[in-house]
Amino acid sequence: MTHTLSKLGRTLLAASLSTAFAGAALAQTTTAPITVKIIGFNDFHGNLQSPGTFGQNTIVPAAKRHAVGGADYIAAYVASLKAQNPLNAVVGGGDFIGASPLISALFFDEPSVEVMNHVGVDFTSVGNHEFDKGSAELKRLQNGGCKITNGTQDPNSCKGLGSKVPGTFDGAHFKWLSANVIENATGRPLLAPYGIKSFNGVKMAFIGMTLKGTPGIVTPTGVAGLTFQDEADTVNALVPRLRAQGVEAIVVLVHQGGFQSSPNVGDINGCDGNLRNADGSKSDIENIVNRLDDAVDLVTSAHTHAAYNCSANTVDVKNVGGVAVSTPRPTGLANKAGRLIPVTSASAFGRLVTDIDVQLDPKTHDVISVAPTNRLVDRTDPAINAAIAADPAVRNIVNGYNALVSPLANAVVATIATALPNSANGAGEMPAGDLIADAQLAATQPPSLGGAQIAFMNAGGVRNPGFAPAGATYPYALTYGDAFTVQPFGNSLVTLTLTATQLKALLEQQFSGCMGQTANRVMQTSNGLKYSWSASAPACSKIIDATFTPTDVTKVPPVATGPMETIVSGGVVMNPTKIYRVTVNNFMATGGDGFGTLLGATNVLGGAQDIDALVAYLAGYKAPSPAYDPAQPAMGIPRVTLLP
Amino acid sequence: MSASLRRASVAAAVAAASLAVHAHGDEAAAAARLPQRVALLQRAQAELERGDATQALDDFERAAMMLHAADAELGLIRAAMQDGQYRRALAFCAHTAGEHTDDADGGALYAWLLRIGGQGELAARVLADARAQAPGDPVAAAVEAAFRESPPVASGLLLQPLHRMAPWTSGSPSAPPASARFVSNAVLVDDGSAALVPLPALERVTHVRVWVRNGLGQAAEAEIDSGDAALAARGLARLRLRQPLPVAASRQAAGRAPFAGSPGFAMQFGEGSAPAWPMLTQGFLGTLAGAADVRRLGFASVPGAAVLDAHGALVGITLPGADGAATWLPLASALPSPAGAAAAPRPHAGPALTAPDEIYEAGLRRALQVLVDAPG
Repeated sequence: MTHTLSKLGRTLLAASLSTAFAGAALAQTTTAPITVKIIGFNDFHGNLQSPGTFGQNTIVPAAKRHAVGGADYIAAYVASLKAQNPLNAVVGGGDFIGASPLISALFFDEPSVEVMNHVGVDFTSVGNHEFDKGSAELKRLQNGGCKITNGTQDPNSCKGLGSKVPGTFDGAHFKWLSANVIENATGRPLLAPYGIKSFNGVKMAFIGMTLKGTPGIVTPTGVAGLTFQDEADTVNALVPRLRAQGVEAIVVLVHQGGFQSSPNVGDINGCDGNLRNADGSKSDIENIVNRLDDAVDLVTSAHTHAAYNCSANTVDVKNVGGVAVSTPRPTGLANKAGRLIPVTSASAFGRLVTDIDVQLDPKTHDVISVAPTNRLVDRTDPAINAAIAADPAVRNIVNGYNALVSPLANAVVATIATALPNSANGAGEMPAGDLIADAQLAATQPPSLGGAQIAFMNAGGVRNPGFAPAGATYPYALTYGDAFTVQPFGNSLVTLTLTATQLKALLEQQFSGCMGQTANRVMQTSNGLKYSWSASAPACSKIIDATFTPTDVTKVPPVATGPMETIVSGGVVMNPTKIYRVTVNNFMATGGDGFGTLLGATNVLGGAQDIDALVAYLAGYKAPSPAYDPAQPAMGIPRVTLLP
Repeated sequence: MSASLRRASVAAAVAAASLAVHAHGDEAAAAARLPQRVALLQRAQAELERGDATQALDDFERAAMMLHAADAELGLIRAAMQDGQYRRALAFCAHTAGEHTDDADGGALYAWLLRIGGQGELAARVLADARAQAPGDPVAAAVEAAFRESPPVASGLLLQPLHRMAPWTSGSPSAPPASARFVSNAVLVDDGSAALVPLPALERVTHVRVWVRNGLGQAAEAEIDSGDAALAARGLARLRLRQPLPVAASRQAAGRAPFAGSPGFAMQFGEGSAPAWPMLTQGFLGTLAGAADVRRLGFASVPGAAVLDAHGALVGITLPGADGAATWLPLASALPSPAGAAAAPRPHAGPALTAPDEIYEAGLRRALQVLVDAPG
């Protein structure tokens, strides 16, 4: 009864004076309201990259509109909003996937799901495009697992750049909600009908739905075996069930919407024409809201790609001589009881987020006020850019998938006779690392390109799984994508000069406790250099012997071009001032991984990118040439020996 | 309204009215109720056809905010292309093709954009889907026919305003006459005031006026600079443009040529005389192919194409291959500069493999059509 009176009171007050309504609601509470932040967006459609520019309204000239959107920016904006209030929920309005750009579509929209996991979405309604590939595929995206095509895993599925383990797909950590989508076979909703979050003991329910008319706009196979029920009827039927669970705060996430109509300028926080159609008829979203139970407190809508904010925060914006003149006009769409309900939509493609502050009464558990604001996901915001620079996780996922979009990713660059994983033996040598070090030596060995004699690769830069793709059989036709997976960082090669003493110091610095090194970091070594190290020797005295045999690795197979010389014998440098040209990547050259010795090198020369060097080297092992085989004696493997 | 009925109405009606119904089903009915939107679309289309991409984008976007329909979206995509925003156009077209599936135009345009952007396999798949959904659609059929050539050349229906698979001429007084004919591809170099073209293409034409035109439909008249013996020895000629063409943010690499084994791209036009969007091909750059720093290309191209490196910087021009194999000459050799000769390639921050849509956008202003006509 208390609740019913509260709703009725709000209906009357909202029709007259919104501020008075807020005061009345506050008067009935005995403790401070709980403020919850809801962050919403809709119709993302897999736009992992910026969809272009967008303005606050149509007064803003095209040239002055800022670039907006992109998954990395959405993630950063959402994070900054969440940081303002730990009591929050991130919600979507459907069409997160489907009708999406290649960067998402080519990988079955798994990238979009993965970035939304990183964004921290809690719930989203399904939209019509969630059914583009059928309900079974939607369930796979919800639950995880790889896409099976013709009985086998599709090569474009389970790239896993944003999943916990490369080569897998986690599925959505958020819940797709489909209250009005019923599986005919079971009579139950296809996915969860609603989700509940609790804020300081006050529950808030989110009911998710797509438009009833989905079957009319999706291919029949996409919606086979499903029934799409009336939106308002679905919500109203759920209200008693939610109340039975102690829920009074109810948010509807519905994939249906409207448009702002004349006479104003379509400001993202406007509600021009109260979303009526141009001929004055009610919009689809108004028809739904008009029939909603009074228990519903907020509707976030979608589908039309329009931006609007029909709420206590609505503004009417007019163009007065080229200047935007803004006038507040609190509004909303009337529900079944005549109460004005806030209704929002955040355009599409990640251009906007809707930032909604909801005040809850800790006593009645009901909503006191709703204050939404649509905000541009502005890519020029310095604070956001700084946040992305500090945490580039989502940007890295997007960049990774962007690279895999290239048809070059599937181009065969070599044949390998056996798996070359990035797992190290006891001495620290990796099959994949040997190959990479040789490639880097080959790229810098000609005198005009550096005249390198030795190359070292940091072990941490040889990424999983090495040249050993899951499910590969050997000999294996290695693709550029396979190679790129192992060398994704775009490091460039640097050739520099070290004395024999410095070279010994560099080898010693691989081991924990020597010259500030904090862990054992055994470098991968090119063909021609061999050394042994003692596990039991003290730090900085582990290198026992090291020899160097000049080897031309640009030849297939490699050829020794001079006699072997001893660099270290019994831990002693034999010819301390002798110099060697050594190639490393730019990360190591600047002291990365603790290799500060390299900062003392001389005659530094920049070179090719590591991945280019790798592809060029592998070209010598591309069919019809024989496969790359580490067992060939000419490869000089093993190169590192572990002594007791 | 079916796509064929819609086209019939387009043919019968004036352009303004046709814009209003370039939407389907309920969308067409809704569009008709929005006279403001119809006016916006008319204006946007006129702006687009005179090459005012910025204003056209603005107006198509405003129309798109009033109704979620294919007509405004297709206009937006073509306006983005006219503005050189290939990535935006491609991404948005993916949406349009997936959203408005009962109109084959979106699928046909998406297939075209994919094909010219180096995604031939996907283009074929998208086009097959569009053909399956609308077997009688003349636009999709015309695209399928054009795809038999590489690069595809838009003609006939595919040059009409609402189905256009090409840029509009930007209205420059330097635009070539309709009688001008295509003779070669060329590459815009330096600050946009010069171009390199394979010499054999010009050896067959004498006493003609010459124009170059980029993938945005921007043209300039040019003169053949026959005084560069060093270039001629390498099989190239320099064209001096009477008015520079914009290079915008596109980059011309300085210093050493890209490392053999690195990804490379070529942008080239097909043999058509109408304004066109160029096509991207891609693969790995090869090793030296003989004397004078000529290198193997490692993938298909045609002479005079712009060669771009893995990050979209202009690095060279393709040459006529003596043995039929595609070859190219680095700009560092064609246009040597004392400062750049010994410099290492500039390290590039970011991922090593750039998506082809970014490369395409970078090369859109560097690839040129060379057109000739008898002097007036």
